[in-house]
Amino acid sequence: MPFALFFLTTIYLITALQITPQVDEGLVGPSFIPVLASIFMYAALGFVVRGILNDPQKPQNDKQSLWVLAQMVIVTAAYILLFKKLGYPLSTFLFVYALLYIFSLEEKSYLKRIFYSAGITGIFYILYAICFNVRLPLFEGIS
Amino acid sequence: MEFIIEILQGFTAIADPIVLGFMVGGFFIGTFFGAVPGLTAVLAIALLLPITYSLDVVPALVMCAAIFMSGMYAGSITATTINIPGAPSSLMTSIEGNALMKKGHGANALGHAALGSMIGGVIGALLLICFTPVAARLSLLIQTPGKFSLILFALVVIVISNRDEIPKGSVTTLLGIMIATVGIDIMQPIARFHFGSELLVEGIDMMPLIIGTFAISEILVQLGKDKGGLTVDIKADDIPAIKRRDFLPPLAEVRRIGVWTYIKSSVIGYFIGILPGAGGSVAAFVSYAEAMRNSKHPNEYGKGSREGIAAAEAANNSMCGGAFVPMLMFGIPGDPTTAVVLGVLIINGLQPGPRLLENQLHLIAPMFASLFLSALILIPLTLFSLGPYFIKIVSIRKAILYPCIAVVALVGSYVATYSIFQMILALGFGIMAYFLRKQQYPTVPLLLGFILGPKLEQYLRRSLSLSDNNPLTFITSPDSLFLHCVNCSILLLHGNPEANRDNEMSIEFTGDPSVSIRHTT
Repeated sequence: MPFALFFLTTIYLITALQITPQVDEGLVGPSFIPVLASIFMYAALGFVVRGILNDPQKPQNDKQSLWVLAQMVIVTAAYILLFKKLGYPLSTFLFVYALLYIFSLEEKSYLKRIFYSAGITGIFYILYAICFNVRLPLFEGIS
Repeated sequence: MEFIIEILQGFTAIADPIVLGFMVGGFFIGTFFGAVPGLTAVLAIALLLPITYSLDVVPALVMCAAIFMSGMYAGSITATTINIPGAPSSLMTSIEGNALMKKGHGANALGHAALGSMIGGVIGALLLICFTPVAARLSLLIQTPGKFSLILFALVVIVISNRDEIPKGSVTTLLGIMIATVGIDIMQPIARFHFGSELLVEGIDMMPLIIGTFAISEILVQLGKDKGGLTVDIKADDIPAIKRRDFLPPLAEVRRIGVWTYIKSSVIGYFIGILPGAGGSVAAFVSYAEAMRNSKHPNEYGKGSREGIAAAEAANNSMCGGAFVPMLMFGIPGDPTTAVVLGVLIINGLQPGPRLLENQLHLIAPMFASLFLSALILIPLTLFSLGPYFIKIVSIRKAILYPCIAVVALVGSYVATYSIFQMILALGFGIMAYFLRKQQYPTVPLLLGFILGPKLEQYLRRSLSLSDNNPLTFITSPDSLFLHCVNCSILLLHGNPEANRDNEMSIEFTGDPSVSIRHTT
C-alpha cells in the first residue's frame, strides 16, 4: 500500500507542479496546498514504511481470496455499465442473483435465489420509484 | 428569547405525522444498523444520503439525528447479550454488560445501558441547545486567519486521535485533502487534476466517497468473513431468556451509581464530541476510565460493573450533542456521522455558520428536538417493546443483507445526480477503502480530510491575500495565535510519553470472550 500511494503521490505532485495560475497570488497559488500535501504525504509514508520495517512480523489474518474479491468487483462493474442499457429491473435482478451466488446463498437452490433476487429488486424499486419518486431507468430508450 | 421560541417550535414540528414517521423510522434503522456487528450508524446515514435529495430538509435532518442517537445506543445490545459490540463505542459496555449477562442479569445490564444512554442523550441535547448560541457568538469573533488555524487544529486532532496509527491516520487525512483538490480551484477559474477528463473538471462529490468508503468497502470486507452465515451467529435459544420486568434498573442500583456519575460522564462525552475525529469510542473510554478512577467499587470493574455501563453509555450518547456544535458553527464535523449529516445540509443548500442559527433555525431546531426526544422517549420505548427480541431481529443472513446494501449503495449513488460516473467513483473509492482497511489505515480521516481540505486551502489563501502575502498574519491575529498555541500544546502533550503514561488504562483481549483490564495510576 505505501508504494502504491507513493506512486500516486508522485503523479499528483508532477501534475501539481504543472498547474499554471491565471492570476499571480504570490507565495500561495492553486498548486501550493497540493505540493504541500504531497510533501507531507511522502513524510507520512516514510513513517509508515519505517513502522513496517521495525515490525515486519505483524500477524497477517488476511484469509480473503482475491478471486472472490475480483468476482465481486467484476460483477459490480458490469452492473454499473449495464445499469442504463438494461434498465434497473433487469440489471438489478441479475446483479442481486450474482451477489447471492458470491455470498453462497443456497448453492444448490436456483429457485430460491431467483425468488430472493426478484424480491430484493422489487422492494427497492418500490422504495425508490414509488416512495421517493426517483426516476429509475427501465430499459434503454424507455424511462 | 427568540432562540428558545424557535427551539420549542422545533418540538412542535416533530408532531407532524410525516416528520414523526421519519424520526421513528430513522430510530429503528439506526437501532438495526447499530446493533448488527459490522454495520454502523454512519453506514445507515450514508445509504440514506441519496434519498435526502428527494426529501424536505426537516424530515431528512430529523431522521439523521434519530439514526445517530439510536446507533450509539444500539451497540450496547449485542455488546451485552453476546459480547460483540455492535459499534466501537460499545466496547466498554461489552466488558461490563456481558459479565452481568453471564451472571444472569442481562436484562438489568440492558436496562442500565438504556438508562445511561437516555440520560446522556438528553443532557447532550440540552447542552447542544444551550451552547449553540454561545458557539455562534464565538464563531463571529474568529477572523479568516483564525479560521485557518481552527481547521488546522481540527486536522491535527483528527490525526492524533488515531493514537496507535498516527502515520497511517496522516496518510488517509492527506489522501482526503488530495482527493478534494480535484476540480475547479477554489479561488481561480482553473481546473486541477482532471487528467483530461471533463467529468473530473466538476470535481468529486462527497456522496460517492461516503458510499464507497463506508458501504462498498464494508461489503468487500464481509466477503472475506463467514459470508454465508448470520450477522449474529448465535442461536437465540442459547441466550438466557430476557424478561421485560427486569429492564427497569432498581432505584438502589441507580443511587449506588450516583447522579454525579451520570452528569459527569455526560459532560465528558459532550466535550469529547466537540473535538473533531474523537467520536463515541473515545468518549466512552475516557468516561469509563474516569468513573473507574473515582469509583467506590473499583474492584467490580471488568466483572460486571453497572457504574461502568452507565458511564460509558451516558458518554457515548451525550457525544451526539457535542459533535453537532463544530459541524453547525464551523462546518467541522465532530465525528463521521456528523460529517455525513453535513453532507445532508450542503445538499439542501444550508451553509454551516452563525448565520444558520440567525436565518434558518426553524430548519435546525427540529433536529435538536429529534436528538432530545429520541433519547428521552424512543430509547426506553424500544427497549421495552423490542428488548426480548433484539437478537432475533439482528440475526439476519449476510447473504441477503449485503446484496441489499450493495443495491442501495449503488442505486443511491446514481439517483443523487442520475450519473453513472458517480457509481463508478463509488466503486473506485470502495476498492481503495477496502485495501486501506485491510492494511489497518483508518478511513474516517479520509472523509474528514476531504471535507476540511478545501476550507483549509480557502482560508489560507484568503488570509495571505488579505495580508499582502505576509505569513505573520497567523501570529499577529489573536484568535489564530491562540489556536496555534493550543495546537502546539496538544502536539507537545501527545509527544511526551511520560504524560501519556500517567493514568494509563488499557484493555487486553485475552481470547474470546474473556477480557482483562489493566489500570495504572
